Amino acid sequence: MIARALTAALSFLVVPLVAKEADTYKVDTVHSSIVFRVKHMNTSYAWGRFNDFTGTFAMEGDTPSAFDFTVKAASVDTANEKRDTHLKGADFFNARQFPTMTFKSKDVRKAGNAYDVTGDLTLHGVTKSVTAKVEVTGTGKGPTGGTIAGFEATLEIKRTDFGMSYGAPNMLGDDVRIIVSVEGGK
Amino acid sequence: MFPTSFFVLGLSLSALLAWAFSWGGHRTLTALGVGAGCAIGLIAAGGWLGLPPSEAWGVVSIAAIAGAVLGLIEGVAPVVVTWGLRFLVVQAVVGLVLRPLTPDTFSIDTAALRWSGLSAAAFLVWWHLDRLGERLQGAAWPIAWWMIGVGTAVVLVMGGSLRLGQLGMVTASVLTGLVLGSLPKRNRTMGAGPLASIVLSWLGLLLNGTFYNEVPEASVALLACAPCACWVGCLGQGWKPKLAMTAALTVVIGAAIVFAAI
Repeated sequence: MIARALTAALSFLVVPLVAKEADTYKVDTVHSSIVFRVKHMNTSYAWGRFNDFTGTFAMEGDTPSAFDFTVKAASVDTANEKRDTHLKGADFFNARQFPTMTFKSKDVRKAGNAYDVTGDLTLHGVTKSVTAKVEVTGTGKGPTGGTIAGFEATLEIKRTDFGMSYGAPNMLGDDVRIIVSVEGGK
Repeated sequence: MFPTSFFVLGLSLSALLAWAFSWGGHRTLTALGVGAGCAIGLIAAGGWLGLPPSEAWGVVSIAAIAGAVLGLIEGVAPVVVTWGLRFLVVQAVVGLVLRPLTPDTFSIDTAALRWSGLSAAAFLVWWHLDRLGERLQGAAWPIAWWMIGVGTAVVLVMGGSLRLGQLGMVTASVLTGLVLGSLPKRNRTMGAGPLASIVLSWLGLLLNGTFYNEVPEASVALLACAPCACWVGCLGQGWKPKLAMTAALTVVIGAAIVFAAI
């Protein structure tokens, strides 16, 4: 009797201390976007997007804990067929030699209302550690009743760090901003 | 990539080297000038070489340097050694260009088949070029090559790569120097030995264009067969066969450009 009471009392103490198990979300590509911008001729920003990507992310409650994304380089789309051909070729992404870009997180830290997510970005065959600013944009129930979650990540990179130096920095800027807006479901 | 002014300087220097070294008509010196011109121009266009090159287009510069060494060896080596080395170098260039596509794009079997097929085809093209180059006298041979070089550069740009187009411009620039160096030597023939750097760079560019960019296979095939049009120039002496050769080359190269443009 005493033992049972002690066990019950201890369980009240222990349960809140056990970390919540992370839930893995699969990216819903229909409601997700990966866009980027880069300066053209030191004047305006040209925008583009990637249409083919997959990924998962993990959440512990409302807190993101891991990210894993793969993007097909050949899916680059800037709304201009000739420019897309040029981007896919040897001058830029060299998509036949380096068909995928990947991001795998290693560390997630809270930074104000957002999170600093550090991980390995592999682009153009070069892997570098980068840090993205991630904001959880919402969680809730999807149309079928399943749990969904969303976030927006912003990442600034220098393309020359990844060996993509053609036309940099004057014809096409070196700094590239990548914005990843994702919705995922469990 | 280096600034445009550096690229233009590289082009000028490559043409100057080819012109200066080919002036005397000595095959080994011509090979040295052509090889050095190609190497300097390609570095000016594509930047310093990383070894091994991280991208397939970097093989073009290595091919040019290998061609220069081959051109020098050919001046002293017996014919069997020359052809043996050519066979090995062609296989190496084709293999290095195709290697990054295995196994994601091609299975090992397909890659091996393409490697052996393309190497055999390239070797045959080189043998053909050698026979042709021993017959065409004076500036006709370098002029024919210059037309093919310019056509290749245009096709590569049409195929979506300005960088490969720039590398193609380097070979065209070297050939400009060679044309100028050959103009006064009306009876000179040079075969394809001194052009080893050009032949190997050209092979590397065409393979890169079709496997890593959008250069149609039809354009590549037409450019590879374009030297056949030079046989027209061997049909007789005087300017008329040479003019007919130039016209035939224009048609074939023009067709390659049209295929790349549409």
